[in-house]
Amino acid sequence: MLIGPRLALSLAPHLLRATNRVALATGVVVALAFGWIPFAAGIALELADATTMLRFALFGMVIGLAFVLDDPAASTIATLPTPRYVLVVLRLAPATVLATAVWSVAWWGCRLALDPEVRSLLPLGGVLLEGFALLAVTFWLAGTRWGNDVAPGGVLAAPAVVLLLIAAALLPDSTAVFPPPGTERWGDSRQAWGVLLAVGLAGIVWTSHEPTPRARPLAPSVSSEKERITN
Amino acid sequence: MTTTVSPPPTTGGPTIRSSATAAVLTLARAESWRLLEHPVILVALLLTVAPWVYEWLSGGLASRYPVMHDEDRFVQVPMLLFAAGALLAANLAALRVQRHNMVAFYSVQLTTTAQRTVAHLLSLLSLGSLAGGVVTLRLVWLATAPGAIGSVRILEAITAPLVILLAGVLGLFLARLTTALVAAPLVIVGLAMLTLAGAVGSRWIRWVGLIAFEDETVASLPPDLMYRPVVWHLVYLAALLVVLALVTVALSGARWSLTAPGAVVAAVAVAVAGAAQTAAVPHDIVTARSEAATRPARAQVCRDVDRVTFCAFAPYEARSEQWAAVTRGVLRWAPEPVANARYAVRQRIFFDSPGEMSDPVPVADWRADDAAAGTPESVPVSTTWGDREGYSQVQMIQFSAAFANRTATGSTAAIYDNAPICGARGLLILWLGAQATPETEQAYRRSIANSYGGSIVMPVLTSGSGPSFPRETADLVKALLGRPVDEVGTQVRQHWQQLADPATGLVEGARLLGVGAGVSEPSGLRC
Repeated sequence: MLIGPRLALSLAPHLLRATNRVALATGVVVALAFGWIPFAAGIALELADATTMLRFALFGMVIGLAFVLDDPAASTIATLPTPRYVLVVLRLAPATVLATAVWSVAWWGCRLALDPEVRSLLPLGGVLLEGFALLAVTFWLAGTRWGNDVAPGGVLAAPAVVLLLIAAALLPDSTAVFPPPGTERWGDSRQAWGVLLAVGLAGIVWTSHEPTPRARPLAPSVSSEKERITN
Repeated sequence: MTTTVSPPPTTGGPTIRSSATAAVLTLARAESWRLLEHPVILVALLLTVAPWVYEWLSGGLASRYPVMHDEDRFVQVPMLLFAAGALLAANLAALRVQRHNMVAFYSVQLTTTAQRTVAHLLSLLSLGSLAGGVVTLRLVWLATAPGAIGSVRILEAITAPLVILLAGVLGLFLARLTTALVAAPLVIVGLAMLTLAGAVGSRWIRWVGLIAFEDETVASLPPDLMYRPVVWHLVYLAALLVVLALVTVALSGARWSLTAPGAVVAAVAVAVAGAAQTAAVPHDIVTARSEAATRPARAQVCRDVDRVTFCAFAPYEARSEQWAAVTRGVLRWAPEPVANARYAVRQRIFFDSPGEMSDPVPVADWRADDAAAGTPESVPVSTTWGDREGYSQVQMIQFSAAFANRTATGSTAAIYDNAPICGARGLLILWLGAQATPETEQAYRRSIANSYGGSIVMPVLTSGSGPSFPRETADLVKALLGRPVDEVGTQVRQHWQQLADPATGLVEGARLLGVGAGVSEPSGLRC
């Protein structure tokens, strides 16, 4: 079932109210802190250090966003006719825009903390690819439910992202996924991030589908039939 | 049916206290099992041991020649992943009540929130024990490797389990501070930043974090040249753990008058131990290091293998087996007078000046030390062997090429000289060094892959001293390595004199070894 932009707009405020805004705000604050503290404190960063700070800003951001699909009313609204993918898109699209904006501000802060001569060397696209790949995987994990567990997705997604990030950071140099820019490993690691982005997007699509087909409910009720006619 | 629930008595005698203690212990036991089965712990454990399993299955160089007095420190790094799992799992366990909206139901329980917090704290012992088991298995496995040397220091080995306990307590502390689930993962990000700063920062910040890093750009050091105030660090971590545990219990509703005195004493211990562990390296250690870097002979033990004398610091003496495999591999293709000559190999330690990466080695001191010890013209070899950090494999080819240089030139002068070796002599040295053992060949190929422009430098102990070899020579050696070693070796022995002669050009040398087609004399590298 498709819905119009009007219904989407009318749903958005309710979804925002039900979203874990504390987690989102904390993630944003941490990201901006990592991005701007070096410049604010007058610390001159090396290129590799600036990239590291940028990555930490990203980690803070994605951990906050791991809770974006959490909804205390999830079990109640599961019976509503609004398709699951609509709810997912209505949450993920603004979250992605927010993350991109915050990360861009953090990137600008790290850039300013660099020596003016090397500012142009701070990669944008390559690190942004890391960001989108991490976001996609985080959203995928956030939308994943294990068995009949009713725990919100962030309970699983945030720890999973943290553990995966630490494991990735501990990889040896030959397979490093967080190499400094300009090193031999940089190009190969971008390919790895590209693959991860594709996997994450596929995961989001998978978790956005209905667990059971709406067109053929197991036991249609009178009220659900009324809903169907109304819509 | 009507059920009446009586509130728990607020005061009581020994019976009540003992039943409360029993309830806490029972809860602790139950929470221990839940922690051990927690998905976060299982995933963390899996991710921690996965690289070790891969290393074992692939038979990698990383664990073939472990130095146990270093490995007890290295094992702490991957265990940080397990510590992160402990922090997250403990936090989630303590917040389970809020997450499942069960707070109201807990008011009818016999135990108070503070007692349940104590139970959670006790349950962390299961994770500490599991971590201790993992560390023990890892170290035992490494110690049983045929190339293992040195011994494990127990205090270093118990650091990781203590860090896991501390991480778990931190998770509980955060749970009592805030019910926000985002807090624990974000605190881990902050701790990761602190750890990273500790890995590359100055001495004081290296010891402030959970695990204490060394300057890993310095090669392995003998135990008596190391300075790691591990006892202070353990006291620091333990006191930090006590402070956090007591504050957590107090935040859970226990009387501050009961917890505050202990917390204050522990906080003082944190400050004292924290300051003590960051003290500068003692003068006697600095002097001993300087002595070992310039005149190590008096502190070393020598042993003869075949016709080569190997001198090493304790406990690296057994490494002479690996060094002997290399010297045998080089000398097997030398003509009889060269193969039957006496040689010496001496283990060296080299320290760069702070901030420098290209200091020369103290050749004059080394020569004087060798002369006094009766081992003139000794070939230097590093304390590092294998491929612990992914780049130390290069030490194998550096030693092999240095020994080949010594046999081809009859002296060690060219080992330390920065001048390029352009002619057939370079071809002889590089091929002899590369083919000595399968490991040196692998190291050679890796050096080629990592070289800029195809030329190769063979520094002494990764210092600023050492010759370079032009790209043409390196390419020819690669081609020679593709041919049967016996065939090339026979030609090498047959034409040794001409190949070792500095007047013989590279084209002539290539022709003698049957790889002359399309070869030109090197033009770059000041040749």
